[in-house]
Amino acid sequence: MGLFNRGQSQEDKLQTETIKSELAALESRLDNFLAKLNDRVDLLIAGFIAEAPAVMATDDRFGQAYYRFSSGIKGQATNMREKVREVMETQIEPAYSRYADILSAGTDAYRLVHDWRHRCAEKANDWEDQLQHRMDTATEQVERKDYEPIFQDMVNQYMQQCKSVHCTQCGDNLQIAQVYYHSAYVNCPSCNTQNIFEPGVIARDLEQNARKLAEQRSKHFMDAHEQKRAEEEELYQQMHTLQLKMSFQELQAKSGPLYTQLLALNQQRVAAEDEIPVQLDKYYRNIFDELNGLLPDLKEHHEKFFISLQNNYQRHDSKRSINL
Amino acid sequence: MENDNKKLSFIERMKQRAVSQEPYSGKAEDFNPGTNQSACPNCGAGRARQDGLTHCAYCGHTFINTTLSDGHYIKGSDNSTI
Amino acid sequence: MSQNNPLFEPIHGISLFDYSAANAKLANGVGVDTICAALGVEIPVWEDASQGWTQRMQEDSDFIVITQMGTYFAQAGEHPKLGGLQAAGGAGNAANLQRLASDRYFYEELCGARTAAYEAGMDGAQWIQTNYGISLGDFQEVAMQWMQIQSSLSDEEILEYTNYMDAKRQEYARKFADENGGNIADDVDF
Repeated sequence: MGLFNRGQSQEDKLQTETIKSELAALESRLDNFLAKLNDRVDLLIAGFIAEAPAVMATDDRFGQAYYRFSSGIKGQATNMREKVREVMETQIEPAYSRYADILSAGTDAYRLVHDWRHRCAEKANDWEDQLQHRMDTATEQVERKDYEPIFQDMVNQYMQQCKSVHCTQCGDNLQIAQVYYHSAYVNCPSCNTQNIFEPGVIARDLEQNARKLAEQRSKHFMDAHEQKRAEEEELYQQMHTLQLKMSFQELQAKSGPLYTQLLALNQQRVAAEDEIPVQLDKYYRNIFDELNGLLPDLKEHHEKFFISLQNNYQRHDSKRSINL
Repeated sequence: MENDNKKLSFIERMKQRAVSQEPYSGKAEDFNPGTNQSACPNCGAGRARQDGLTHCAYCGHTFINTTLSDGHYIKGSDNSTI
Repeated sequence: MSQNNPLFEPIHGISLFDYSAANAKLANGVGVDTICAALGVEIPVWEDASQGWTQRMQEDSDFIVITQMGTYFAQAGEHPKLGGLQAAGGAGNAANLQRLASDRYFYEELCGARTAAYEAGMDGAQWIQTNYGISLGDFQEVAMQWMQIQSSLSDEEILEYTNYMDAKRQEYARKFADENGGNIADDVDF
């Protein structure tokens, strides 16, 4: 065995070099493949942003054509995602297995193959995350509307239209002064006849748009909620990094400058963590306060709806258990 | 550039498909507020608020078979008493 | 069940079963006038009750109303007043509907095809109506029936059906893409 040691190690080296160049070639093909796909993502997103307004302009009030268009765009993103997964399954993973099966753990070659697989998987994951992020941003951009004027115009238009609604019996004006969300029996102020009043599509869509407006007016609380969440995560990571720097003794003794720093970070982290549900609560409470202002006749329902929602999101409240 | 055009026409094709499809329940129609006939189909009498919603005060024709409860616009007190 | 729960109190005499079956029929293309005539109410009564049921579902944090609605939706055909109502266009393709309810693989295939249709920018519900004569309401009613027996299936069976559906989704995605000149990245190879 000793006799061949030198020879074997050279052979090992040679083998490592061969593997290295083969894997590098595959990795570079992966890079090219992802870059080419990114060009298509650029085209897809640019086309989506350019054409969506035209689709929306001629759409019906349910936005059915836009829904089909955006589903189709998302379908293309899914198709590209599946292409990447297929490449990972049919090109990257088999190459990894081919070597991982014959190399012994702990050798340079094994580590090389292992790192390579990890790197390729990271690239694919990053590519997917990027794609998702870009699709989300584009969708948000395309669908963004200012609901302040939209809602106000709807109310004005409805009230204007109601001025020409007359009693089927005596022909007098029905003097409709409130929003009806659906058809209702409306009494004629002149002859006392019950009319079946159809409020029209604007009134029927009003509740939905009020909700959008209330969400828009409450967005700063949602932003604060997400901000606190990110802050907590960041502080948690900082604590983790600091703990790695600390020696076992320091951690055991629970004292020293680093430990003090750790406690301070945790205090900040707990403060941020406590704010996460507080801000979420403010967000929902504000939505319903706004809704009560916009559609006061639905207040009783809004309050029950709020409690039901609150029960649900509070069920998902969770805090980290950290023992320092 | 030629490639760009080819791919932009892909978006154009997607748009055409989305716009030209007939949706399952048809395109939603817009309609304005208005009143529908509510007179009794049996005797032609108008319906007055104090007569309640469920039966015709003149001929007894049934407009609504069920018993009304407290909803949003319609209340239990809207049941006809005749 | 929760007979004493105020969340289940009928609204204007319209019970949750009435409401659920009516929605299944509406999704089948039965007109709202026909539904109201069968229930013995006028449209404003039906709409006031509908709003009430929607609100109750939103106010019910335990989702018991919506869960029960799903069960009733699956039993729409048995509703005493509404069960027999058909859309003006007719009952659709009875043989395909029967197969959808008895052949799980056929059901999974159409689920896959419907998803693929939406992902291709088409109306999936309309695609099923056009190609198989099965309306949305009937499809959902059968879907609810399959969901009710889901808990009696083994993990292996569920996985088998899921995989089958996904394979079919991909197969139809290819077909729908080809019909429209291909996908945006079809020519990008590794």
